[in-house]
Amino acid sequence: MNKYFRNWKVALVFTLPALLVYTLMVFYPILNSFTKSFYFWNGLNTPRFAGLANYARIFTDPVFTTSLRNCLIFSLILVLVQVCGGTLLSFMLVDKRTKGRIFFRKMTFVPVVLSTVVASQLWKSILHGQYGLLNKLFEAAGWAFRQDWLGQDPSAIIAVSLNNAWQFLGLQLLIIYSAVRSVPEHYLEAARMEGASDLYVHWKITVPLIKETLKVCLIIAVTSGFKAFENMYVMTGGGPAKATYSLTMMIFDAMFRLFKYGYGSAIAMIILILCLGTTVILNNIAKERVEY
Amino acid sequence: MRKGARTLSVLLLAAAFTTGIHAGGQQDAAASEGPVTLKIYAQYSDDSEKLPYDYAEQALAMEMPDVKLELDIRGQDDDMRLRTYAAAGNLPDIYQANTTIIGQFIESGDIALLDDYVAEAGLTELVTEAAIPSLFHEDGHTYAIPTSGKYASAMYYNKDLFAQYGVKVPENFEEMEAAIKVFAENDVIPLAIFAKENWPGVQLYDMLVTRQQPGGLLKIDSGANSITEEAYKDAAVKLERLVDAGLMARGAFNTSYDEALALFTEGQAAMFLNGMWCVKDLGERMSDSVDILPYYYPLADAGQEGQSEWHMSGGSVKHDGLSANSGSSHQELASRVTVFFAHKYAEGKTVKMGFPPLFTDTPETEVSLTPIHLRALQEAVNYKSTSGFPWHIATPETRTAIEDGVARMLTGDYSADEFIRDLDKLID
Repeated sequence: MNKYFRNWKVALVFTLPALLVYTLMVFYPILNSFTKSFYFWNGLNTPRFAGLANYARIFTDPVFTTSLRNCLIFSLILVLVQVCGGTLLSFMLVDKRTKGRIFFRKMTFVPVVLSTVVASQLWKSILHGQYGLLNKLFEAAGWAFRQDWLGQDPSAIIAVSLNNAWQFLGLQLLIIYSAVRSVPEHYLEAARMEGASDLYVHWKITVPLIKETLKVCLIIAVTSGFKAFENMYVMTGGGPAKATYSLTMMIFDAMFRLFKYGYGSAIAMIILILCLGTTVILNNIAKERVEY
Repeated sequence: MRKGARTLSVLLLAAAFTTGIHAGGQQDAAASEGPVTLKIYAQYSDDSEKLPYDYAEQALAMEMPDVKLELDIRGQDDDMRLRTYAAAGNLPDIYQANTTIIGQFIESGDIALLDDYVAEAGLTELVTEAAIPSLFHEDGHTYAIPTSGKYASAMYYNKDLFAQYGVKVPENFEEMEAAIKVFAENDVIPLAIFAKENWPGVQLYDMLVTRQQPGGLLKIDSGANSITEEAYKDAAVKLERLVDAGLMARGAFNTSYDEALALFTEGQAAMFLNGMWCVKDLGERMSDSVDILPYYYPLADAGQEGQSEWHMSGGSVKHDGLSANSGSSHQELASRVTVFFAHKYAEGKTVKMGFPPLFTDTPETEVSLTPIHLRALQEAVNYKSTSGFPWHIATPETRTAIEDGVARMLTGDYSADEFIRDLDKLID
């Protein structure tokens, strides 16, 4: 104990800068948004106390339902493509029998280094209803199956989500792949000698052992859905008719089209609660430790 | 002797010091009268903005050689950047302000009153009669100097495509609906609309409304009319019918202005909707192949075409233009420059782009006018009434509600009844 008290000043010196930066960059804006969410404020005039009116408005706003639905679709697609798909791909890539695995691993990481705007523009030009590459391919093949992919619901939100899933698959894959590689080979060998198939071995041994990593990936994927903005902003502008709106686009709309900063702050608080809630729930679900 | 010399040197030193101070003072005064750089936040993206801006800048250099302008190019961002500047206390000396911004900046005290400078420049006497209201805010004062004459919106058509498919150039709603159907069946885009932006859809609805209700959507904003009135309901039903007939092209919601313009000028779309500011561009690109549709908007019921003729959609004379920052460190100079620059900018739009003049002392245009351009200019004097563009709707909630409602209608999944019902609720 004495040792602790002797060293706490040293600890403070080392942690204080980080703590100050964190407070300034994260805690203060959150606190400020929380306070502003109880006010009517257009960003320029003197704020007027609104009580819970901004929060009440969220739940009567029809766009909230659409936005929440879109965030959930976005999260679901990220979980399926990045976490589930990424895990399966990792199993393939650690298998020495897979041909071209180094090339494939590197290629999946290329979109990660692209800017989201570039990636979204790329997919927009592929999916554009009038001159998009996909429709042109259908046309060239003589198929009448030409769609306005980004101009109708629900194909627009699915397309937007898939764009993000594709772009950041490489990042999640890298995390999961590193975890899979850290599983001692002799655990798997033992099971294989007992006659278990590769998939069964991974399901029963690898997945439980990399559960902590998968949990982190899952949290990243789900919260990315709640925070989604750039992809829809570039690809559809939230349209058609707000069909691809997300919760963050609602904030954007409230603050920069309606000039209701209090309302925008209240939506930001809802996103914060959703992200924190998801993190807590997923942490609780995957609490059990596995040891062999 | 030594004492005298010492006294003399002290006196000389004092004299030199005093002279030095005086010279320094003169230098400060000269500096304050020297070159001043004012920051201006204005549009400068294409020729219709660059040429008038450069024209006005040249005129300013001759009139006030010590004033330099530092341009901060205005973004198409619903004035987000301007608001951020204002909130951060970093507003440029001169900025472009629309009706909404003027209202909010009056409240926050960020906009300078220009009454005296307008009187000094004699602008009230120089502004064309039709544009007089655009010089004054609803409180009777001037906070912004308009920079362009009246622009209405119009529907343009590709003559060659109409001839190729044997489609009668529509003069009323029924003929328009029939034309749309023919083009849609033949895989030609009936109307090139850049629905990536919200306003063209709203303008189409306003065109329909103004066939029965001059003033259109601005009357909803002012509270003079209600969305449940017959003209607005009927316009919504007609918009729904046009969408059902195949008005919208695939990908219209992701189509930008440049893309829509290319579709029209390259013969992939039969009609195009835009403001009259594009007549110069259209005339130069398409020559005799392009014209304005009869009645500008052939959307009235058959037999009613004449009644709504010259009741234009767009062309608002609401108060907007260049404003001066009341908190500028050179507020008086900024106000004076704002008035002069806006006057010359408007002049430049006529001289360099062939736009309708805003002030009576505007010289003749240097542009050789194409037939469509000439027609638009000559017919501008016939306007009986104007409405506005969506950015003239001062209440953000009303504007957003209308923009969102129209966008939903254009998807085809939202009926006219739902549109009117929801809008009635939201605008309330």
